[in-house]
Amino acid sequence: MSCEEPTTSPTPENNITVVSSDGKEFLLDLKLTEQSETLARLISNFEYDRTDVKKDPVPLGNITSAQMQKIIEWLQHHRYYPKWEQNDIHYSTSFTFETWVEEYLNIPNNEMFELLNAANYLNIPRLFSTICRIMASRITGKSAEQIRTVLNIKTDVKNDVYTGIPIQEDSSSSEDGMSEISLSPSPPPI
Amino acid sequence: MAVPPNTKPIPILKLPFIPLNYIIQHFYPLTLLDFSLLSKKCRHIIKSTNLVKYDMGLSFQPDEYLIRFQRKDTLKFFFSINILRERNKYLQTEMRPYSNNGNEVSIEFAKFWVNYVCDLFRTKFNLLFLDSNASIDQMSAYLILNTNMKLLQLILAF
Repeated sequence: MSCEEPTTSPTPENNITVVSSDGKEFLLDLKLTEQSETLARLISNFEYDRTDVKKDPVPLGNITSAQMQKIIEWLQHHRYYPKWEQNDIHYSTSFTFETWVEEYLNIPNNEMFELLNAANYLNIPRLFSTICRIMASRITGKSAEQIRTVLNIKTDVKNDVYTGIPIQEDSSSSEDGMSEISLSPSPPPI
Repeated sequence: MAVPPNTKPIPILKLPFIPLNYIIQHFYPLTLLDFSLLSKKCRHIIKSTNLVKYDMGLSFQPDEYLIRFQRKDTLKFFFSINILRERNKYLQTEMRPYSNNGNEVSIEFAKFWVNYVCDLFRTKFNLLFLDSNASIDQMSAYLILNTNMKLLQLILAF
C-alpha cells in the first residue's frame, strides 16, 4: 500500500515535544501522534491540540532516543496511511511485507524486541502488529530445536506431566544473552 | 525477507503478555505444538491463549492424519502419525504408533497424543474418522477418550 503525501509545512502550533529516557528532545507533528493511541489520548486529555494551551514536553521514560528516532521514521512513512484496522488474526505459513517494512525492520533481534516494547507502550497498532508478524515469521517452519535456539528457551520440565519420566534439562541454551536487553531504560540524569 | 543483521535470540518469554499472545496467534499449528514441547512455561502460555477454533477429530483412516482440525467438511490442518512420532522424544515417550501387527494405529499412541493436544488447545474432539475395515478397538476409541470428547460425529470412509 502506498499513499501520496500532500505537501504541508508543519507550524510550531501543531507540534509537541517528547523527551526520551536519555533526555533527548524530539519535536513531533501532531498529525504523526495520531498513530500512537497513547500520545493521541495524552494530547486530547491535555488539550495540546489547541493553540492557546501551553505545551509542556512529554517525558517518555520507557523509550530511548534511538528507539524514538526509529519510531518517528515509522510514523513519518505512515503519515498519510488510513487508520489501522485490526483484522482477525490467523495463523499463517507465509508472511509478506512491504519492501520498505522489510528494510525498516532488518535490524538485530534485540533492537526489534525493544522496538516492539516501545510500540506496545506507545500503542502504535500498525507497528506493533507488523513486528509481531515479523517475529512469528522468524519462527514459522522451524523445528522445535531451531525454535529453542531462536527464542533461547531452556527446558524447565523436570518430570513430564504426562509420563512422569524425568526430562533432561537443556544445558546448551542460556538466558544470559537477555541481560543485554534493557526493558526499562534508566531514567535521564536529573 | 532479508536476513537480519544478526541471529541473536529473541527473548520472547520476556515480552508482556499482550505482545506475546499476539505473536503466538500468528504461529502455524505445528509451530504451536513444537513451541509447547520446549518447556512447561511454553505449554502453559499456549494453553492460556485461545487458539483453536476448529472441530477436532481423531482419524484412523489410511491418510494417517491422526489428529485433524476441520471447519465443517474442510480440513484446516492436521498432525499426522509421523509428525507426532517424531515428537515423542520431547515427551520422553517411546510409544509406538502402530500395534504389534504393524498395520493398525495403536490406540494407546492415539490416546496419548489426543490427550496432549486436547489439553494444549483446551478443546475436545468431536469427530471420529474410520474406514470400512476399522477394528473394534478403533471403533470404540471414543470409550477410552471419553474425557476429551464432546458430542461425537462418526465419519466413515468406504
